[in-house]
Amino acid sequence: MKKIFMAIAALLILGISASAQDGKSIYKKYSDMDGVEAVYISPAMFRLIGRIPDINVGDDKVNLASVIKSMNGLYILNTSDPKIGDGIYSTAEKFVKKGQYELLMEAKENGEATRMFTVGTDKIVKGFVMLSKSGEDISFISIDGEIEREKLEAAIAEAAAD
Amino acid sequence: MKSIEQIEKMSLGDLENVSLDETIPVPSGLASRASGLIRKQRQIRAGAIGIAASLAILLGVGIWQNTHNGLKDTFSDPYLAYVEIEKTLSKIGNAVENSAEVVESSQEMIDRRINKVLNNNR
Repeated sequence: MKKIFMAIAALLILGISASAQDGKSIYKKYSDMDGVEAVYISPAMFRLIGRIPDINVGDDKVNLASVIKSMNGLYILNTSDPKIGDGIYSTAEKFVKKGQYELLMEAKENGEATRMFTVGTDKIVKGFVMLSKSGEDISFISIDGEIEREKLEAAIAEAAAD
Repeated sequence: MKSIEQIEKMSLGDLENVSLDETIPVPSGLASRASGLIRKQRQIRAGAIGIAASLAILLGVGIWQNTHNGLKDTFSDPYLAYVEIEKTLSKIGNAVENSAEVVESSQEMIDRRINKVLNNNR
């Protein structure tokens, strides 16, 4: 009997600690700190944006609305505080490692380093993380959803061209 | 010995009288077997209650985490949220573009060096 309770308690603890390693928990940990600029867009807001007919991409080739509809969470943290920045960076690194994210791209130039990670399949992106470091400035972007990889890449390319 | 059907037809009073009749021999080890069975039944029931309680806690924690994540939307206006998403995608796009430029300039530098080496060898 004790063994069953112990096993269930262990599962419970594991479950809680596993859920603590995601974009949401990193956001929760650092967003209220002084010197941190934070943006959170909830799944409900994504659904709301998706329902508004006026929001479309107009002349753009890529239908951004369909990409947005397939997102269900956006977490952004920016800081220039070196101590907080280091914390965000190392926590995010642990998160991408534990979350089995794959390194999509890495660029380093003039002390500026940017790394992008995704998790999912060849066709669907379930999570996207961008970590960038420029001097003391740290930026963390995490997107959750069920986004078609092709559409996401096209949307990023389109947004960069604008 | 009475059959099961006969026992089932007996009233509670009759059953009580029979149980109090000490002249009826009790099979040896019946008491220990019966108490063992009762103990086992209790253990199974307690285990089932424990598992059900744990599952209820797990479910409760899951539901609570989903509904009370403690996070508040930065924007209450979906249009502003949309602009922020667009800005974020643009930032990601610029980072991709910059990395492409780094690759391109590195390639140009490599090409120049190769040409220089080739020219020197001629």
